[in-house]
Order: sequence, then C-alpha cells, then structure tokens
Amino acid sequence: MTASIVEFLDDLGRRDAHEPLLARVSATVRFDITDGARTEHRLLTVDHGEVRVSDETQMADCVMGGDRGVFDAMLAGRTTAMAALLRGELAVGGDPELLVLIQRVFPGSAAVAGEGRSS
Amino acid sequence: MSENLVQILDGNTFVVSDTRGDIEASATDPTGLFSFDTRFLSRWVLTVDGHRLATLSTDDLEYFETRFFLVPGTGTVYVDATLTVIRQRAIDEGFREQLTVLNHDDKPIELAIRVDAGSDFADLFEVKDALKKQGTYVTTVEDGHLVMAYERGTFRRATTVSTTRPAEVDEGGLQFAVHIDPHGSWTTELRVQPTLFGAGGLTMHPRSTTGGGAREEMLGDLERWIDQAPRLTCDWDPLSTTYRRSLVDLAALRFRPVIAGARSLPAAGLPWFMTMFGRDSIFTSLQALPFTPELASTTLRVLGDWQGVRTDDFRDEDPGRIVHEMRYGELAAFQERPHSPYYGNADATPLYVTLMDEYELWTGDADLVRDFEPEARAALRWIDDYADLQGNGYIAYQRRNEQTGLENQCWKDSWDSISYRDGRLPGFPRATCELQGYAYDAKMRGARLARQFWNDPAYADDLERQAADLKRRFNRDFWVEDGEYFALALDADGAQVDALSSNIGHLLWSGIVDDDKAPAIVRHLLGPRLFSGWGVRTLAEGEARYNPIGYHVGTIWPFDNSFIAWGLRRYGFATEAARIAAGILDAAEYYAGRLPEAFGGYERSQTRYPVQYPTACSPQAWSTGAPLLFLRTMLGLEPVGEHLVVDPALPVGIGRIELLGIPGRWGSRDAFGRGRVQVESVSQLRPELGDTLP
Repeated sequence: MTASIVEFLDDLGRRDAHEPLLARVSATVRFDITDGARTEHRLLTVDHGEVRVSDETQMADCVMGGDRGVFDAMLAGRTTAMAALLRGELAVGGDPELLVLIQRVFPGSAAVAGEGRSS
Repeated sequence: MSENLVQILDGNTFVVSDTRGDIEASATDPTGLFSFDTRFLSRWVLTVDGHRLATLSTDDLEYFETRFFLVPGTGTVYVDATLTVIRQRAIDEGFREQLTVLNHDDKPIELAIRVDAGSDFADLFEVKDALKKQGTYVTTVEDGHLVMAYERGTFRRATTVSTTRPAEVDEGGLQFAVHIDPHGSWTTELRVQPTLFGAGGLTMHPRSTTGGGAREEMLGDLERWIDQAPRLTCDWDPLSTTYRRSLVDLAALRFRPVIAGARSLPAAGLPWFMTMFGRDSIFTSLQALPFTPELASTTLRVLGDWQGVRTDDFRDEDPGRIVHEMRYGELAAFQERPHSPYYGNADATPLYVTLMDEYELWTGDADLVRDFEPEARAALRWIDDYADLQGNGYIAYQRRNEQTGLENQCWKDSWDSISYRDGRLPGFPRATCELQGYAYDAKMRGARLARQFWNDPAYADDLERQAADLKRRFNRDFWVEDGEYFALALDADGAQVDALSSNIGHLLWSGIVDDDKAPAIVRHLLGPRLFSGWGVRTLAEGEARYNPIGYHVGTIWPFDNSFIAWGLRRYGFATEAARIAAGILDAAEYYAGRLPEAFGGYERSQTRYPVQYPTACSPQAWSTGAPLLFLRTMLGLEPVGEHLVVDPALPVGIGRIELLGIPGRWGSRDAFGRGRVQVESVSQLRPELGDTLP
C-alpha cells in the first residue's frame, strides 16, 4: 500500500468508478495536496456514488488541505481524517460529514497492529 | 460525582466547580472547564482582598447556567454581612461569568478582587488515568486578555480569558481595583473561551447544541424541546417530576458531533462520557423514540457515516462494525488511544439494525431505511463474517488492540463483569448471551426491512431462516439445566459461563427465548437473588463475585431494568414489568427525578433508600432515558401498522396517567392508563417490595 494520494485519486477518476459506499452522496470534494513548494488540486464530483475526478480548483462542498504525507497516511490507514484534523495536520473547510464519507473509499491497510502509530 | 460539585453543560462542553464556583483541579479529579475531551481551565479561584469566599447558596438555574451567592470569610463563625458576591455562570462557547459585588454598608469600600486562572490542558483520559503531558505551555497577556496555550507539534490548544472591565492581567490571573459607593454595586463579565487551532490557520471553538449561544436562544430551545415532547399528567407527582427532569437532562446531553451539522444525538454521560458512543446513543434513542424520535434519526445517520469499512487492529475496526466511541482529545489525536474513532464493541452493530427497524415502525421514515440500506446490510454481514470468533455461529468478542483496546466489549465492560458461578473469569473470545439475543432480533428486523423496503424477499427469507436456527441452537447451548436460566456467556471452549445475571432480561427483549422457558426466566428476574425491591441486580446474590456495590457485579442499573421491563411486556408479563417500573421510579424519587447510572444492590428492606454507586456518572443518557421507556412499557405503547396501540398495566399507587401528543406515523395520539397492578400502597413505602413500617 505505497500509492500516493494523487495516484489513487487519478486512478479512481480513470475507472469512472461507482462507489457503493458513496451511494447516498451527491457533492463535490476538493483535495489541496501540498508537496514541498507545489500544491496539487483534485476535485471529486460525486453523483449518487458515481465519482469523477479532475484537477479543477473551483469551490467545493468540502475542501481538505494538507501535506502529501498526511493524505498518504490516511490512504494507507496509518491515521484517520479525524486524528489528523485534531492534530492540526489536516485542514477541512465546508461540510465535514463529507470528510468522513470520502474516507470510506480509501483502502486502508489490512491488520495494522500496535499502538502509538503517530505519523 | 461528588455531591459537593456543581456542574453545567451543553453538548460536549461542561464546567464542574465547587459550590463557591471555584476550580482547583488536581491531576485526577474531573473538575474544570472541559470541551472536546480537553480541560481548558483547571484553576479558577475568586478572592476579595486576598480572602476566599463562603457559599450562601447555589442556584441551578438551567442545565447550562448556575448562580453562586457568596460572602467573604471561609469559616462559619465570622461572616462579613456587608458584602455579597454573586457569580452567574453560563456555558457559551466556553463560559461567561457575570461577577457582581454588592456593598450593603453605608460607607464606600475599596476592594482588590482577583480571579486566578490556569490550565493544564489535560486530556480527559489523562485525568481518568493520571498520565503525564508531553507538550509545552506558554502563557501570555495580549491586549488585556490572558492567553494560556499548549503545544505539541502541530497540535495547539488555547484558553483566552477576557473581561468587560479593565483589569491588571498577569500570567496567573486578573486583578480588579474596585471602588463601590455606599449601597452600590460593581459588576463585570468574564469570558473564558477555548480554541482548537487547526491546519491552515483554521480555528474551532466549542459549538452550542442549539446553534446560537445566547441565553435567550438556549432557553427558547429548551422550551421548544419540552413543548414538542408528549405532555404527561398524572396523579403521582414524583413521576411528573422525574419525567420533566428526564426531558431536561436529555436536552442537556444532546451532542452535535462535528459531522452532523445542526442535528444532535445523545452523548453518554457526565463527566467522563460527553461524546458519541455507539451503544449508549442507540439505547438512549430507543428509550426516547416515543418522545423525541429525532434523536434516533441522527444516531442512525451519524453512526452509519462512521461505520467501519476496513480491518484495523489498532481501532478494532471491521467492515460493517458500528462505532464504539469517538474522542477529540490529545491522546486520540496522537493515536496513543484508538478513539479516532474506536470500534471495540460487540453489540452496537446488531443494535443498529434494531434501532433502524424500531425507528421506522414509529415514524414511517422509509427514506432513511432506503438511504442506509448498505449500512444495515453491512451490519448484518458483520454478525456472520466478523463476529463469529469461536466458529460456532455466535457473536463473540476479543480485542485485537491488546494495549489500549477494551477487554469486555459488551455493556458490562468492567474487568470482572463476566464470571462463572465460582468467580473464575473465562478466557477470550467470550460470547455473552445478550449479544446472541441482539443478533436474533437484528436478523428478524432486518428481514422485515428487506421485504418491505429493499425489495429483496430472498434475503428476508435467508435472515429469518438464520434467526430461527440461531434461536434453536441458543436455547439448547446457553440453557443452564440445573438453574433453569441462560448462561451469562459461552467461554472460549464453548462451555457455559454459568453465573445468573440480569442479562437474561435482555434476552426477553430480543425475543430469542423459547416461550416455554420464559416463565422460569421471569421467576429469576423477580426472585430474591436478582430483584432487590428497587430493581434487578446486574449479578445475582449468591454468585461468588456478587457485591452490592460492584460496578457490574451486583449494582442495579436503571437502563438495564428499563429494557428488562420491555422484555417482560414482550412476553406478556405486564404485571412483572410494572413491578420493576415501580421499583426504579420509586428510586428516582430519592434522586429528585434524576436516576444515577447505577445504585447499590442492597435489599430494599435493609437500606430503605437506594444507595448511589460511589462514582456513577450523572446525568447519564440511558439512565435519563429509563423513565421514558418505563412510561412506554407501563402504558403498553406499541406501533402496529399505522396505529399506536395502548395497553396499560400500571402499578396501583401511580393512579391515572395521561400521556398526550405522542408523535409518530399516526400524527399525534394520546394514551391513558390507570394503576391496577397491585405492587404498593403509599409512595416511598412499598411493603410488597420489601419496605417495612419503622
């Protein structure tokens, strides 16, 4: 599970994915992903579980911003959106319910054991 | 909580102080201003000319507001009656405190008024377990405000203290040089505001449950809350008091999770559990369904959003598993505790399906049942795919997070709650009996939802077949022949953990008990080993670990009893249900209508009053909900199709009850009942339950 968040989202977009876990979601979510001096943007447009991905920077119902590292950790299941938000590593604007719902499509990693998994 | 503490609360923000209004928290006691599971104020001490004050009286005005009347002098010998100090404190994104000093003398006075302030920013877990902090503290004075801050890497929290009157502010507090004319007064408003600093310069403050924080708005909201609930009139005054207390406390315990927008669900209880708990939120929502169905709606939505989707040993998460507990403090943030969120419970997942079905039966809200079909199906799948840890078709639990996960993942979650008759503790995994009842009920109710709303009759048939098979096996494998009751659990070898416990009452509620076994169960529940006269004990007298003040091994839990009463009615034992309702409602009278989490299992004839468990949480959501469920069971309220059926069975001393304006799919209905079940003669003295004349 070493995929980066940008690769994961781009792959999601190429698949024209239908995500059953987002079946009751119709909303836009923007990721602002900082990697060094660069910030990449990905806009997820979800329509009853149909997901499209673009690199537009328009306003969204929920906007998440943070370093690439924290997104990658969420993607791999090393941290959760809530823990990252509370630590001050993930910025969230708009409707925070979408943060929880979008997190559902991250594959996580099976059976990560142990305590103190600070990222 | 100690009776000498004063508390106000709103959502997950609360203040606990002494009766003077002062806070001098030690490392391990839960006094202070708390929000987001963090103590934002651990010291708040008022002095006048260097002297502490003495309390004349404390008035709890509303659940979010209190007033302290104070005079100089700390002893009872000397009181300077020419000066009165009034502190009026209300929760408002932190709290506001109106400080007023009255000079009753005919001479002017000069006073030095000081408020000491400090914060240890302790995580509630640290207060509970006495842990050390890892970050650094910085206190500054900025523009006449006192700003106390705590930092650990990107984690930053601050408490700002400000005042409407100019003060000399130093790092230890605020000082006022005050002149008051003869018979004059002086006043200022102090404000204490917590801040959570997020990434990207974003900040968060505690949010009021009502949206706005202004006093009028909160009062208006409380009035609306009470107006919208059914109106109770009855001949027995203590029941009216208890009912009103329950509605107000339920309002106070409403909690708006960060993700739920303007909606709220019941938090578990003060002081340790002002957060979202899967099990507690579900049980409380079930109890409150005939009164405030919107709590169930939010609980289903929020718990559905947070449902587990992956396998994570640290959080004991599985796909389909319903959240156990969410925390917002430092230890959760740094994953030193798994509560972001934590999933380690074995009951909330089947209970989620039960709540969904019961919610639809009452409200007719088919949209929610359709929108959350994937979540309900995933919950039902969890029972078979992830919970069968013994490989015998029963739900069992064993934590995968062995450092900070929960050992006992049923409602009796203390270390010694599950034992054999002789006191031995079984190994893991453990399959407690009530979990099997919940699984049976979830499958039966899931079948109804599949047939009526998900257009999947084949799945409904499957679920019903599985449920019937589970019921057949359960009545064989858990039945303790020589005692004629169901074992508390099966151990890791599939052998019976044979103690007699209150858990058998939940089995009636779930409907898993064969009809021919029910009379024996009822005899135990109302028999001398389990029934104290006040209620059903968690563990029967005579078991090796029985202790009348043991948390889950002998105390009486009002919530537990309310579900037992519901179970008794389900099996047609209306008289017995009324006896249990009468016992617990009698106990409520001793607590001015506010039932504690638990009280002692002593024989009623022995103590004459219900002895409170020493460190019980109060108010606690599912104790607050218990009188509501007792009203439902006493009146025999059942939704049947589009109608509300009323079939009362009330204890005699209660007299006449009218519950007017019960909301539901029928619009609004009234229910009437008159006490006919012979259990007592006069209030507070029930010979049938063990009371004797002095």
